[in-house]
Amino acid sequence: MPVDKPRVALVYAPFGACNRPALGISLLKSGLMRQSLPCDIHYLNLLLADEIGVQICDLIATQLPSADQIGEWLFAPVLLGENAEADQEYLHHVLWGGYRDFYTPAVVYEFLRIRELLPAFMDTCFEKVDWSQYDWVGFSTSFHQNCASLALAQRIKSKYPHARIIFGGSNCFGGMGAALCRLFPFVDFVCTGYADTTFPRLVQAVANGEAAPDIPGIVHRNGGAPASAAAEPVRAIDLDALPYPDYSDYFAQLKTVQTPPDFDMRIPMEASRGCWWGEKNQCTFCGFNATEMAFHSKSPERVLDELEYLCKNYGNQIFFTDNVLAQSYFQTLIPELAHRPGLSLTWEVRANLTREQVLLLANAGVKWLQPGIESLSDAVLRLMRKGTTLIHNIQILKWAKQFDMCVTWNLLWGFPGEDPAEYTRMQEIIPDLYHLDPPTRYGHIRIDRFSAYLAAPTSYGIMQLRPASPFRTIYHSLSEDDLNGLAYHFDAEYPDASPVYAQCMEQAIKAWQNWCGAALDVFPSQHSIYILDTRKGGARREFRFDGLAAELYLLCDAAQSVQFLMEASSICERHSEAEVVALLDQFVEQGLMIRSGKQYLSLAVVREPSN
Amino acid sequence: MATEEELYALIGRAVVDAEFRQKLMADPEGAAKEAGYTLTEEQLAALKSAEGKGLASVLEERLPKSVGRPILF
Repeated sequence: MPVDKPRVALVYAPFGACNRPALGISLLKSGLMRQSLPCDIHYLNLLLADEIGVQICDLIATQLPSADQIGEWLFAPVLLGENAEADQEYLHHVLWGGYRDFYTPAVVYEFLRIRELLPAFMDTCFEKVDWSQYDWVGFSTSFHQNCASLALAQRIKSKYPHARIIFGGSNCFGGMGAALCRLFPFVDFVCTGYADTTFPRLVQAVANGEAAPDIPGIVHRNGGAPASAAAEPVRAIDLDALPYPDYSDYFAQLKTVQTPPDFDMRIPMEASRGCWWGEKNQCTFCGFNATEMAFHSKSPERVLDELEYLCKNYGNQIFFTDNVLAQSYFQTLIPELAHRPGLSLTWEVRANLTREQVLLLANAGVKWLQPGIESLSDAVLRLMRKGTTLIHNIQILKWAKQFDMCVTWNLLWGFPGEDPAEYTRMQEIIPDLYHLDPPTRYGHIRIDRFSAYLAAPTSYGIMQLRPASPFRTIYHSLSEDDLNGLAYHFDAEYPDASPVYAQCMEQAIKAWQNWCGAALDVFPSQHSIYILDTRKGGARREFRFDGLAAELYLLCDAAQSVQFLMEASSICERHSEAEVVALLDQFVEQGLMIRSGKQYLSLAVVREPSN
Repeated sequence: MATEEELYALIGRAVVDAEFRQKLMADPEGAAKEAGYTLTEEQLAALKSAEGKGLASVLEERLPKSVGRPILF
């Protein structure tokens, strides 16, 4: 029966991050409101944070290894009941399989206490909101949000069968969405791609009396088994045509939660979707699917307007959800942002930026930079098709330090085909980089759905692909086929030597992370440079160079080859190539430069000229 | 005094045995004793160190120290 004004509830379940509003559903709310369709967002993750603390909720949501799916394991009994055998397997293969020292008895004991609270918490979620008023209840699910979302959806559908249950978010992309719709009969619709335009269209169509309209990317259940989506999800949409996200529900509900003094809240904003690098050359481990990959960006004018709106209404700590900064913004948006003081921006970038581009970002108010570094080895970077080099990676870390930006990055290992010798070399390089931001995270690569490893496993010597252990134990009642449809992370067998060097790498990285405050600075003056080095055990080393040595060191702030240096008239007219090479090699010997292939890169961070 | 391995075994049992879990949560010392382990004051305190909002601090201490924190996942 047609409904005049369908009411929509959108749910953001635990364990979604508490320190930011959810962009996707906030855009959907605005999109629905544009069509005069009332919509409320319920941040049930905040409700749980109120009960067990916002810090632990955010740790589970964003800090603990996401592949362990701890949030899902905690909620699994609420959805599927307890299963001692599965729990035993989870404990021994996941929690104590790789992180026995991290997940101590005290930590697991507390996880159990949280687990015990969750059935009652689910009752609260069900009772606190009057779900009967809604014609649609939508769940946004990414990472650890499936079990809580499904458990609540099941209860709502059971009590209020008139409510249409719809799921979306990255856990529903591609085949995962179809599997979710097939496996959980209380789920009526699933958006398997971007829902910005299709979801409001679906709500309208159903309100007009269509039971199961065919809309691209939306899988639906029409009485019996779920039908396939009418067509592939849309690959790109006009981002300028989207409304601004409505974060009002988040801020209203956040007031009920006690937040710590260091609560690091950031406002999500998107300037683009997709990845322009991945469109032409997807990194082997990257788990974006074809729908997400197509790169498209907002116009600079639109970004500026939206940024102004978000800052005015919600604060100036903005983190861009972009997978990668649009290259064209360096000519348009980024210089313009420099005229808007007070911004604190976070952006993901390619690592091969020039010094000028890093400076532009700093002037634009970028305080946090997330370059896709991933490795400190050219050979490993080539294996993963990253399109960057060791030199690029060190340069961006150095320039970020120079321009006072924090860098978050990962150092990964376990790539099929990697040479263990590369990791010996990395361990040698790392102490020379103690003055730069260390990796924020490190560890073995994951094999994710949509990655090249899953699409063409034999090309990489990968065999026996199967849903990762946490999925098998969390969804213990599902068959192998069903798990294959639902899982995002996979286990596999391939020649992997990394267990031999992983521990040494971990030690090297921990030493780097603990070595705070080390400096390697270069202070240029008229014809000389002064270098201060405190990287080695806190000992203070000082160097002063003048003439050709000083000139070479500063020229190599961006990596240079000898051939390039010899083209500089000031050098080639007065000095021989042998002199230049001898000086560069001396810098390398002293740990003040690094040589990679034919290129030399100065490691010291350039500081203001000294007197 | 329970060994470290025994502490792991104690919690391992609580994971798979719902009845024992309830007992352990109500009375850690008594439940451990019943299971054959004697917990020292220190071990009891360690077990409870992550209680309530303390879990965040315990995990934070163990997470890598770094100037930055991951923004995305």
